[in-house]
This record gives sequence, structure tokens and C-alpha cells, in this order.
Amino acid sequence: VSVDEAALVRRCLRGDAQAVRALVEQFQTDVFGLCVRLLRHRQDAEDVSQEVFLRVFRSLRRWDVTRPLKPWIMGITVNRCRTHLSQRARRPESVDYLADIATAAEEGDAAELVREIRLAVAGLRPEYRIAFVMFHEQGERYEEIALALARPVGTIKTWLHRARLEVLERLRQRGMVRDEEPSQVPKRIDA
Amino acid sequence: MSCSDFQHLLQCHLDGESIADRAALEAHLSACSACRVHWRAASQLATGLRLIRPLPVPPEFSGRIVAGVLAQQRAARRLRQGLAIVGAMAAAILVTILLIRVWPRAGDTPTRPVDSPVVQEAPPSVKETPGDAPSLRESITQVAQLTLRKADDTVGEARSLLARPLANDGPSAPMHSTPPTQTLREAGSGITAGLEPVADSAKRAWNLFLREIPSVRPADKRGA
Repeated sequence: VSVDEAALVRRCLRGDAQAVRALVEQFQTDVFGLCVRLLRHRQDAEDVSQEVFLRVFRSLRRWDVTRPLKPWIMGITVNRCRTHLSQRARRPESVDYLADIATAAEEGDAAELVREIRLAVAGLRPEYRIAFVMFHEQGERYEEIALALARPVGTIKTWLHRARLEVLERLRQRGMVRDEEPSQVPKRIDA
Repeated sequence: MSCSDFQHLLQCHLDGESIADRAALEAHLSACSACRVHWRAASQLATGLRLIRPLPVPPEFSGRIVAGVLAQQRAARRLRQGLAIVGAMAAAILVTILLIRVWPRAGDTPTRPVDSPVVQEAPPSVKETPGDAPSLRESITQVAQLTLRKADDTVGEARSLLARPLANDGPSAPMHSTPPTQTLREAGSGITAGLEPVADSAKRAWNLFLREIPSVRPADKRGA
């Protein structure tokens, strides 16, 4: 744990408004991004992000200073998203969640590919989806995901590997992978 | 390279690791069409993931959150202060009640140990809560009022009964069939019957007093 993080948290606990702002600005992109990708709805993501930060500051005294701050906050984020998703599942919705987070920059084949990937990810079971989104879309490391989800690294790797296989299979089924003749084997593998 | 080795390599590749033995991979892909499809799908996935851009945070997002957090902290501070005040008041009330209840009794019984609480000496059937004191006074007052009312009624009845034989003794009064002794007996029984509620009320009041002053009795017994 960096000294800066511990000092920042101590200032937040004393009610220092600047420290509160600094902590929010440090993690808002990660929290909001994860909320949007898990909830697939901007407004819901804003609401849940706010809930996350309120909970973070309410529980800040319980943060273990020997552990990094970010996985702890991301763990709270995942839990709040799970709660929101379970509540949302109990009421009828007509919102196109995937369209809600599409960006204008995605056009043509690229847009179709991104849309298919999102559809494939949306069809994953929750654990796999969280692991996939945190690793591939949020850029978290295995260790950070394991800390956030309170699971062993091996479990996270298993979830992610299975998630990838399911997404690859979905892409193949949806015709996103062109069948090639044996002569068209790639001569060079891009790492 | 086997298909199982390829799957491991594929996962490492998607993890972002570099491929050590590219020649072996290309040889396997040339021979295995299923793995080749998998490889192309993985390439598509990697391409698509690169297209997914970081999501911009809405404007004034942090400002709203900071305002919410600061409001929450202020509310929590006010709640803590309120709880402290309530706690202090409760402690003060408790100390006052203890002083009121313990102080005079400790003075009455010098032989009692100082650390023995008075409440423990009371029998368990007796309810010595502070809320009982006004109800006890009210019940005593009601019993006293009932007693007085019944006494007045009884005196009135007795007077009317006693007035009848005296009226019968008059010269103008007609001869009564019952003898005077029977009338007096009737009057006596009427008085007794009239006094019964008074006696019952007094008995109830006395029993109530006896029940409500149990803590004095052990000390009296010890003193005796």
C-alpha cells in the first residue's frame, strides 16, 4: 500500500473536502467504467457509481491499510452492480442496454464486431462476465481481480479462460469468423 | 504441438503474453482446422477489444459525488453528536434515579452492607418500576374515595332504618305488626350489610399497602 493512499484516506476520514475530491477523481473512471460495462446503462451506472462512493466513504474506517485501495473499491463496485442487477431482474425493462453504451465512433464492420462481442459477453454467466470485463475492458490484472472478488487467482483464471472460449464460440456461431481454405493459413502470427 | 498445448498458448496470447515458439504454432495451425478457426476467432476478439474505448465520465460527476459524500459525513457527525447527548442524558437520569432510590434506604438501614443494592432485596413478584408510583397513589386515592362514598351511603341507610321504628312509636302512628326488637335487628343487619363494602375496600387498601412496602419489611424483621 502506498503511503499516499493511506495519507489520503486519513485526510478523508478527518472530513477534508479536497482529499475526498482527490480520492473520487482517482477512482471515478474505473468505478464508472465498470458500472457501465456490467450494468450496460449509463444512467444506472451513474446512480450506482454514486452509491459506490457513498459506501466507500462510509466504510473507509474498515479498509485494511495493508491492502491496496483499488481492489477494495472495485470489490464494492462489483457488489453494488450485482445487487442492482438482481433488483433490475425482478422488474420488467424495455431498455436496450447494449445500444445505450455504443459510441458513435464505432461504425461499419468494427461496430458490428464490437456489438457481437458485447452480446457474447452479455450472455455469459455473471462470474465469467465480471472476470472478462475486469480483465479485458477495464485492464485489471489477475491479482487485482482476485482481491476485488475475494477469490483465488486460479479461480479467476479459470473463469476468464472459460469466458473467452464461450465468447469465441459465440463469435464463430454468429459468423464473425470467416472460414478459410487450408491454403490460406496465416503465414505470420502477430503477437 | 497438440490441440491442448494450442489452447494453453491461445489463453496466454489473450493474456497478453508473447508467443515463444511461433514456428510450432504455425505448424499446428496448418494441420488443425478447428484450432485455426479458434485462432482466427481469437484474433477477431482481440481486434474488437481494442476498439472498445474507455468510457468518458459524465461532466460534473465528481462534483455531485463529492457533495453527496460530504453531506453524508455531516449527517453522520450530527448523528454521533446527537447520540452522545442522548447517552449523557440517559446516564444522568439513571444516576438520579439510583440516588433517589438508594440514598434514603441506605440511611435507614445502617446494618445493611453498602454494596448490596436495595433492588435485589425486593421479592421478585413486586414491580418497583418508577412508573408504578403514580398508579399506586391513584389507586389509594380511589380506594379512599370509594370508602368515603360507601360510608356516606351506609350512614344514610342506617338513618332511614332507625327513623322507621321511632316513627312507629308515635301516638298517631298505626299499630305495626312486627315487634320493635325485630326492626332493630333488621336495622343492625342493614348496617352490617352497608358497611361490608367499606370493610372490603379498607381491606383491599391495606393489602395494597402491604404489598407495596416489601423492602421495608426485611429491615424491620432484622431490626426485630
